[in-house]
This record gives sequence, C-alpha cells and structure tokens, in this order.
Amino acid sequence: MKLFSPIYRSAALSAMAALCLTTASVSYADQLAPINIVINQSPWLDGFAGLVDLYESETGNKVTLDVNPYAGSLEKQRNAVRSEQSEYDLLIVNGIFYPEMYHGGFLEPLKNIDPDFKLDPQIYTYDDTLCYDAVNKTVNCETGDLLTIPVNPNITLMFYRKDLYEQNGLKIPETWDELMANAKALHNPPEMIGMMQRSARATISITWDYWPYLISHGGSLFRDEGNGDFFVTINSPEARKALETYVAFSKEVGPENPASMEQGDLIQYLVTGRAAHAVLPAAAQSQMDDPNKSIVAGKIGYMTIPHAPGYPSAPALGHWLGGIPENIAQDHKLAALAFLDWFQKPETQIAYAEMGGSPVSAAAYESDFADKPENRYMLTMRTASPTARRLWTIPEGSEIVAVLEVGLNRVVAGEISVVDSLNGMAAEIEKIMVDAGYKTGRLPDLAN
Amino acid sequence: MANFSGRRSARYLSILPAFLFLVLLSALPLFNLLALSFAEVSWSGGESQWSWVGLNNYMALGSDALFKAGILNTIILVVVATTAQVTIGLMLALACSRVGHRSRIYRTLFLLPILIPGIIIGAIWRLMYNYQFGVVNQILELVGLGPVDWLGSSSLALMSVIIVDIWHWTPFSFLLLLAAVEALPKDVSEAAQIDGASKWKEFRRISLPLLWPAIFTTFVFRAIIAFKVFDEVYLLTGGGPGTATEVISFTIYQRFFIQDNPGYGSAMSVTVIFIIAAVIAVAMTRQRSRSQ
Repeated sequence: MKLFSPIYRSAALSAMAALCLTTASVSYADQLAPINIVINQSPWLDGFAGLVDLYESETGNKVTLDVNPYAGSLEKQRNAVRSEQSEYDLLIVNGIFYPEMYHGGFLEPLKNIDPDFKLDPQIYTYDDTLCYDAVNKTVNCETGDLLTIPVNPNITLMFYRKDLYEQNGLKIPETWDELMANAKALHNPPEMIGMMQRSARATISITWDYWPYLISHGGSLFRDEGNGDFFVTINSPEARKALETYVAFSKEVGPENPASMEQGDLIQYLVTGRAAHAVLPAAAQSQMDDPNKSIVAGKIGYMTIPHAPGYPSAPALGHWLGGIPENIAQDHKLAALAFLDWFQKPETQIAYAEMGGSPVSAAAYESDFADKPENRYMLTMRTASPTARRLWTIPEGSEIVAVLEVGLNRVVAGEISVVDSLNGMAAEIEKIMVDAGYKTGRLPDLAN
Repeated sequence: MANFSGRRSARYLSILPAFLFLVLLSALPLFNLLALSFAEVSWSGGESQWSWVGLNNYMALGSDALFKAGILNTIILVVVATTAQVTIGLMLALACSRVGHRSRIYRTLFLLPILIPGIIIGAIWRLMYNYQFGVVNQILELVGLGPVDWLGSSSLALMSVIIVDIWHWTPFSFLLLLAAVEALPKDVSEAAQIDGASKWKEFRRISLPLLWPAIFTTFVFRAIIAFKVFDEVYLLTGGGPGTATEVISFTIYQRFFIQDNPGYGSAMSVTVIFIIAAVIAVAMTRQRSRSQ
C-alpha cells in the first residue's frame, strides 16, 4: 500500500504525464514524414539552416538540407521534378528559373495539398511571383494558384557610405541624376570609387543590375508580358536612356575595370572603404558591420534604388521561392507544407531575422527588431519590398538572360555601342520567342 | 578445321563482354546524343514532349554568335596554347635530361601545376590577376607599367586564359617529351659530336627528327585536351567580357545545363565531335604520309 502513499502517487502521476507527453510528441512527429530540402549555398543559408534547427526542435519533425552550388542546385531540382518521384520534398527555386517550374507543371498548388492553407497576409507576394494561372499561362495572384512561398527576398538595395554623406552634407538621392551628382562628389579614384555595380557576364549578373534602370525609366523587356503580349521592346527609347544612364555610371564614376565587376568585387570595394555606393542584394549587409571583415563597420547606410523622374523605384527581384514538387507522396507534401506554414508565421519570420536570415514578411520588417540601429537595412527593405519587380515569367527566360548578359556586358566593355547592343539583343530575343512559338515581334531598330 | 573454327568463335566470344561494355558506355550515349540533336524537348504538365525538328538545330548554329565566337576562340586557344606548351615542354625536357641526377628535383617542380585541381588553379590565378591587389599588377606597378585589367579587358582576357592554360598543361608535354628525349640513342649524338657537329646542328639534324613522332603525338594529345577547355574559362571569366573568352565547351554547357536546351546543345556537341575527329584524321593521315 505504500505504493499509494502521496509521494508515490505524485511520482506515478508525473511518470504518466511524462509518458503521455512523450507519446504525444512521438505521435506528432510520426504524423509528418521527414522532409528533404534542396537549396543553394548562399550568404543567407546560415539563417535558413538556423531556422530549420528551430523547426526541428519545436515540432520534432525531421528536415534534411541538401546544400549545393547555384548551378548544381538547379540541376538537381530539374532532375528531381522530371523523374518518377522527386527525392526532394521542398525545392528552393531561384527567381530566374521558377517560370520553368510553373509552366512545366512540376509544382503542386498549395491548396491542392490542403484546401485550408492560406498565405499569411503579411508575406510579400513579390510582384505576384508566388502564383501561376495554368489556364492562361500567366504569373499572377488574381487568377492563379498559390504555388510557392518566398524564402528569401534577395532584393537589391543601394549601399552607401553614410559617414561620407554626413561629412559632405549630401542628401539621400531619389533620382539617378541626384545619385550621379553625389557619386561625382565622392569619386576620387583609385582611393574612392563613386559607384560600383555588377557589370560582368555570368548566369545573371549585369542583367540584374540593369533591370532597375530599365524599369525605372519606363522601359520593359516585352510590351505587356503580364497579359501575354510578348512583343519585344528592349530596344525602346526608354531602354536606351536606361542603358546610357547605366553606362554613364560605369564610365564616369565607376572603377577602371567595370566589365569584370562581380558581386564579390563590389563587397570587397565596400568593406575595404573604397566605394561610396554599391548596388547589392540586402543579404550582403551581414558583412558590412562585422569588424573582422569590414573597416567601415557602422558606416554603411542603405537606400532604395533611385529612379528616373516620374517613375517609381524598381529594385530587381532575385528572390528564392519554396515549392513542393507534384511528384512526391501525399504524406511528404503535407510535411513540406507544414514546414512552409510554420515558416510564414510572423513570429517565425522575426526569429528568422534575429538569426541573420532575410525575412519575407512585413511582420519582421515592421517589428521592433528592425528599428535597432544594427538592423537599419530592414527599414529600407520595408520600403523596397513592395516595389520590387520581377524579371520575366516565361521558361525562355534562361535563354533570354544569356542574350542580355552578353549584350549588356559588351557595351560596358566598350565592344559595341548602346544602340547596337539593344538592337542586337532585340533581334535575338525575338528569335528565341519565335522559335518557342510565341506570337511576337519587335520595335524598329533604334537609330544611332 | 572444326577445331580451328571453334577456337576462332571462342576468341570472338571472349572479347564479346568487352565489346558490349564499350557499346554500352560509348556508342549508346553517342547515339543518344545524335538522336537528341534532331529533337526539341519541352515540358508541360510534368511530362516531357519531344518534337522532331530535323536539321533545324544544326541550321541554327550558323547564325549563333556565341557558337561562332566559341569555335573561333577555342581554335585560337588550341593553336597558341598547344604550340607554346609543346615548345616549352621540349625545352624543359632537353634541359632536364642534361642535369644528371638533380633532374628529379626539377621534374617534381615542373610537374606541380598539373597536380593542382582546376578549381584551385582558378582561385590562384584569379587572385594573381586581380586588378586591385593581384601580384601580377603589383609587379607591373613596381616598374611603372600597371595596373592592367587582365580579365576584364576584351583584348587581353583570352590571352590571360591562354597563359593559365600554358602554365597548367606544359607539364603534360614535358612529361611525354622527357620520356622521348631520354630514349634517344646516345651513340648517334656522340658520333655526330666526334664528327665535329655543333650542339645546335646535332639537335636540328639528329635529335629533332628522331623526336618528331613524340612531338607530333604530344601536340595531338594536347590539342584534343585543349579543345575541351572549360574549367579555366568558367572560373576566370565566365566567357566574358562580351564573348572574348567564350569557348565551345562553355557554350555547350550553357545551352545544355543553364538554358536547358538539350536538343540544340546536342547539335553543338555532335558538331564539335565531328570537328575534333576531322582534325585528328587529317593530322594522322599527314603524319602517316610523312613517316612513309
């Protein structure tokens, strides 16, 4: 009978409670299959990996990250969705290549997995790139199905030397002309370069930096891509003005060797105190205030990308989207969706920011965390996120970007003129579109 | 008679596994590549859709600026780099064969570049060529000549890649030619020297003709490998600036893997295979007629 004395009763109850809890957690973990995520090696990976650890510890669900270089991740994703059954349950797809996943029918609409699933209202839709209308073959959230949840914004911001602005009494520029004036005021080569921007040819480099110029001058790649009008307009007078402005920054206030400038070079110039401005993705801010990596810690400010008068700022989206392959078992789809649902919650997004990640929710950018001086980039992101613009929405984008990278890089390298480049690119893009079966055409050639 | 024919069958049967293995690993992929080069592959509803396009992919090559630039740059790289590598390799082999027992140290030193993985070579030379702080520009600046934009200038970038290729692959030529130099019959050279021939004359009239088959073989081997150059371009310049360092392997890689255009990429690949095969066939025929 001693067994039922108060102390034993209490111990027995505690043991039963512990057993119940254990059983409950085991059964919760058992409900969801382990998931496998294919992702690329990026500066923001640590933040995402930290969040995955948090998810595992909070829920008991298992997540494996398959980390690859950029091209390797793309290749694995293509192979996975084209096979009988994908080995990955969640694909972290880049903003350039997502159209081929959408148009190819490789991703499961999230509401097909769980009809009650809803996108958190504070999550940015990044120019509607989360949704696809399979009937009209357009990317839009009005008629399209939700296919992905953004995982990283990767929006370009203008990084600038706050301390030099203060010393020289400069005002934050709104327009390209104002930026040029400021850059000229600070340009003193080789000690200080007025403006750094990517101009090298790569999978996507110069195109990404030219895009804000193009859109914020009223230019476009196609006449009305959103409504299926693929008439090529890259050789418009607006695009010409945009490229001339871009080249002017390279020639007048850029480094001596602009044609080979890549993202790593831009960061290097900034952290060694040799650049007054640089266009970089927001994620690069993590290196600016680290005294072990930067001699300008605390001196870098962030502003939205300028624009031509009369047009809004248009930072380019190079974001990453999480999508669930259509060719996996239902229990894995549910498990992947559970992760995305947890990921999009406001509290998760704030935790993501605290871990050094790049959140995709207004909840994080409007939180107290964003107001801390060391997180000052988040205030700029708050303004830039709703205005960020997508590149293209068709699978032929991977061919188009190759044309743009060569054509734009050749102008900066001084091989051809702005007009010849734009006319040449327009002709090549038109050919790609004709070959792919689109109804297309192009503007008459620009005159020299 | 029956015994003889049985032995013959057994002989054929014995090589059958190796033959099938070869077919499986070489002929089938090539056949697949050839078939793919006449098709276009697109994806819809999660399914691949192959459409027969006849010779369209091949016809499109003629108007492809990147393909043309890739072929031209590759030919320049093959000719310049291979010639330099064989020449330097031969000079090093001759020098090494004359330093006696110390040649082992030199051999090890000369072979180092070929042992370094391509990715590290890319990193080393990217740093060395760096416009701001690269050692090459620092040296040039000491003598008032720098800095030079080695990788970002359209007129210099291909030469910069060629220099890396020469540095990387000269040991290959050196190794093959050293074996040939060391196999030269010593008595012929000694007889020439006794007859009063100068070192240069002895080299030109005796050593060089004897070394010619080895030089030719080295040249062909190196040219074949140089035609496939990829990692140096991928790591140093990405084909730029513009199309200055576009090489054909890089063009094919882009079409196949980045632009996901397997039909067109296959047509490029088949064309390149034919070009290489034709060059080898011509070279071998000329060599055969020369030696006859």
